[in-house]
Amino acid sequence: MEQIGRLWQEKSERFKEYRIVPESGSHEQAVRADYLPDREYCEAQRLKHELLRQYRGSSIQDVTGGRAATNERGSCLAIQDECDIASVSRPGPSEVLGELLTDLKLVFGIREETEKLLKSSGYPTLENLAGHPRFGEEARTVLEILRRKDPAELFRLISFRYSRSHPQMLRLSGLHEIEQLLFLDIETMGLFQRPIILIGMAGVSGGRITVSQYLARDIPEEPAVVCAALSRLKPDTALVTYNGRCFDVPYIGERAVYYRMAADLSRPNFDLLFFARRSYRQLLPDCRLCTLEQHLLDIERDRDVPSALVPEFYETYLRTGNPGPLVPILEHNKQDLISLARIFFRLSTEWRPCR
Amino acid sequence: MSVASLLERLAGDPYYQKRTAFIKAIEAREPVYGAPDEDLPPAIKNYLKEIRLYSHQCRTLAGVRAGSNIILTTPTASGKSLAFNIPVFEGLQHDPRATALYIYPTKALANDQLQSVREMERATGIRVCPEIYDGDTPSGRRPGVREQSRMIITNPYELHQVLPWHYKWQRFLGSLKYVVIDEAHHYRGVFGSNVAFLIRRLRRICSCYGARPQFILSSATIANPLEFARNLTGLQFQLIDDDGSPRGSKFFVLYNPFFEGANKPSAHQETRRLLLEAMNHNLHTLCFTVSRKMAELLSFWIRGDLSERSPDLAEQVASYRAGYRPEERREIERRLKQGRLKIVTATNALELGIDIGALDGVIISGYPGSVVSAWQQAGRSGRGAGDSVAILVAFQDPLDQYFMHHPEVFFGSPFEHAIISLHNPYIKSGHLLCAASELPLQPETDQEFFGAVEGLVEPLERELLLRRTGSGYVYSGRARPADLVSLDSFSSGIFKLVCDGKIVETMDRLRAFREAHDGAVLLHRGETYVVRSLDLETATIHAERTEVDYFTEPVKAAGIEVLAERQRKDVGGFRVALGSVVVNEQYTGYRIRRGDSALGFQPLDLPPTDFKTSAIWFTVPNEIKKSIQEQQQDFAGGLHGIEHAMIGIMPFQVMCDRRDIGGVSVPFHYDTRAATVFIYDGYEGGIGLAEKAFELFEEIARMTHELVRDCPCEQGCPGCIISPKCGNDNQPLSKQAAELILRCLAQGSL
Repeated sequence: MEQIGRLWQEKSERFKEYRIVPESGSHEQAVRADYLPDREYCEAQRLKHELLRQYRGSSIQDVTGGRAATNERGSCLAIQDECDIASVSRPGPSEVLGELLTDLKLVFGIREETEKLLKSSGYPTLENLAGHPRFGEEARTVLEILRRKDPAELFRLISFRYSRSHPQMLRLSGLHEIEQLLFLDIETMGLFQRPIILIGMAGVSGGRITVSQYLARDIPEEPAVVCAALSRLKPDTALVTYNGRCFDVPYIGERAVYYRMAADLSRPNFDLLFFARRSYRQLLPDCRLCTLEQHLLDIERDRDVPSALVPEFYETYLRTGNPGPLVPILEHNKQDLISLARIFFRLSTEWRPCR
Repeated sequence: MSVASLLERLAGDPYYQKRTAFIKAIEAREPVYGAPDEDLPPAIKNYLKEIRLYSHQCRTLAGVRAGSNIILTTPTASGKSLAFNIPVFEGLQHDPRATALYIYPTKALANDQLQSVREMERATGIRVCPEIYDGDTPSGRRPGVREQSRMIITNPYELHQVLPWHYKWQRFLGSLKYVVIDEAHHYRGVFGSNVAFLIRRLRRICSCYGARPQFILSSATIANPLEFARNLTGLQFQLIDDDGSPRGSKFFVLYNPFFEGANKPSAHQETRRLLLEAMNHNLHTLCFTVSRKMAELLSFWIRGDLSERSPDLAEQVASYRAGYRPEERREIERRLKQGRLKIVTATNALELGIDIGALDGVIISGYPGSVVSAWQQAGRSGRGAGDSVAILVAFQDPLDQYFMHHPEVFFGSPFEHAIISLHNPYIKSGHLLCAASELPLQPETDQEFFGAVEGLVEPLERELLLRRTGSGYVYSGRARPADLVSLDSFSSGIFKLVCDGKIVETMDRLRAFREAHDGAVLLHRGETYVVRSLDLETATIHAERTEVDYFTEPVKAAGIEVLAERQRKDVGGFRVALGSVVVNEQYTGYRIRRGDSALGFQPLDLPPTDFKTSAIWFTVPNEIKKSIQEQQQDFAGGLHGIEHAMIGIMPFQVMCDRRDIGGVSVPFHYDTRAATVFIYDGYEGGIGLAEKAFELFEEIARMTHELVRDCPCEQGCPGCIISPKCGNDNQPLSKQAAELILRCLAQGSL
């Protein structure tokens, strides 16, 4: 039976969810998330060996800091850090609601042309439109939703009317107090159906960004990590993610079901990837977060682990017990969250309502 | 021109007369109707209109209504789809949230079924939104299907990919009321054993969402339907096998080119002759061949024969097999259905219930390996009430020849056991990994689905593929297990056949060793390829497209070592055992042949493979050995002959391919300390073939004896003891000694 374990391990080993490509690969290759330039791959392997040397014999908490956090699903390591973040002028709820009131396109059946026509014939706002013979009824429904000021409900309404990358969607984040925004980024053992090893969450308040990371020190701690993250979601929390609509949020949902935990993840999720693509696709070689931060924030990551290699780094940590490979994973995740927040705020101020 | 005139010809012409071993007239039969135990809902009554239900359809309805799991084994074209569609639609109407999952072995069958359930939905007005969900479903449509449909049609391969995403399927799986598995007999052997675990994974996930679906299986006639259904699903079943559907009369001809006195016959040439005869009698005929190669060759020959007469006629001949592009296949199916094709030569790719309309005749060129297949193929003719004919053209192979001499066995009660193994550690461990990635594995509660997992989870845990946690064993490997586990083989290695820089075909490692070794001649889509080199490192087969007039046949050698004897019994004074062994197999070379003549032999340098599996073996008592030697008979040649004959016969009891089993025979074996014949399961870890053979050993021995005794040859022929795949060039071999030993084994005395 021993050879059976080895057989599957070998098969698993050979199986990679990324492909190493030569640096000179075509443009198309460079943008695909599952392609890893060979230079990055080699540097990462070097880094891993360096870290293993550097941290040989160290205990995990010496290296990562943080403290054990216990909840009803066990315990995991909670690491906290904070730093300044440039204060930003965001649109407030009243400003956004005011804009929405003049957006006749929120009414089903009204497009750009019709809106222009209506506005020039005595219906500048939804309130005026409420008396319109044809659109009145629908306009009253929309008004009702606007009056309730429930951001989640508004988010659903707007997402029916606008594409996910539309500035109006991003604009909606102004309905939330800055403290209600939760930046989210997870690190995993693969693309779905494998454990989550780290959930990073960040909140902003008073010009400071606070990053909380929940790390599974071993696979059995995963439920505690998921549980800790879920308990951070308050009814009025809105998420800000990078590709979180397709990855981070459903991934947490899947693992919650796996461990039979109740999880309500349906809430506004401002997925920056959509906005970034709209804004930067023409300007940047690709829309990976690290490319964005390089060009927009002038950040060069040092001793970084490429996302695709996080599972291998974590596995090395599990096999050797040497916490070295965790260092760049935690750092990578933290940097992602900080850059996510900075670019998010930057876009929020740059994108004015299109009038 | 009709079936009757063709039969007259066979009976009248001395040439055919000699070769016709047996004609079974299967009489036309009147329908037996039934009545539902309780009225059907008006919507379904409306749909049925004047259609009266057959007895087996009513019994299925009653069984499903009573909550039983049903296996239905009535023949092809007996209205099986309607039998399970009625109760399923009734159930889905009764509970508007309930869902049903239909599993078909092929996409083509799924498409056929989609049409009929859509029609039923339209006519009954019962909204079930039937949809196919498989590899061809565009990703944009997938969420809609998952969220809306109450009747999803899929295949095992897709289900294997879907289960890991079950959290997206909570609505569908949580309300799953029925699982329909059509053509279930297809799921046997390695494929079936994998599917059996797949079904258990499905049941486990459903149970996590609070659903306990009822299963409805439909299958061809096999000897062990209830055992098979239980093994496939892990549940208890009710069998429905009394066919109430009407039938036209059918004539089943057993045709033996190798009758006594024939001079170097060729089964392929006889098939060609019979096909032309069918054409002359204006019969729409489908010809099943045992290989892709022959499907191509036969239609090529016949087109040639006919084009001399009329190019128009030649246009009415086509070949059909797996490997053609789907649109090519649809085109052939359409032309066949419209009657625009007179003759189609096909591999069993056409066997599985694809609707091609009514045919007059079927010619089965070579026993297809199982009686189930032979009847399924024969069932493609005569879907209406008219006469039809099926002709089985025997090859010079053991079972072909056995049936020619024992037609009563062929037409008798089913004796084929469909095998599913739940104990192969390779198959089981792969699915345990999949299961653990779907929900944490809890050895105690999951025992209901997977049996004991002790001994298997520990090595997986040691490799960090599974981790023991408070919630159970959690999958923690890097790759997604569903991507590592293949449903129809053990090996994940895919070999590419490359010609002129392009990938022509892909195949697994076993097939590559067997069919694509250096120098092998390979047919693909009517083109001949010669393999220049088989590169094991890169899993690439370099081939050249070229015309050659020969074919190749690989030769393998095997050695065996006994690890442990698990069971033992006495049969006619012989000690018969079942146990674990290590087999060492090697493809040592290949023969080059033209027609029936050997042109030469080329050695091969392929690595040997060592693998652990199960085997049965029997040792010959010393006094029998002595007595045979005293009669100046070649004892070793006798053992060798028995090994070959037994491998030839065994697939009749234990549904498998001759290639799935192997044998070794020696006058003295180190482990048994006696003269021994081994028959081993050819799959690493074993898939239950040896276990079943041990159970049925007396039957196997009796039939093997009859085969050797009744074969008209003198010194042994491929119809009894000569094996084309023998690594020792069929040396030594003695038919007389084999017969003597077998007589003792079967009758218990010299």
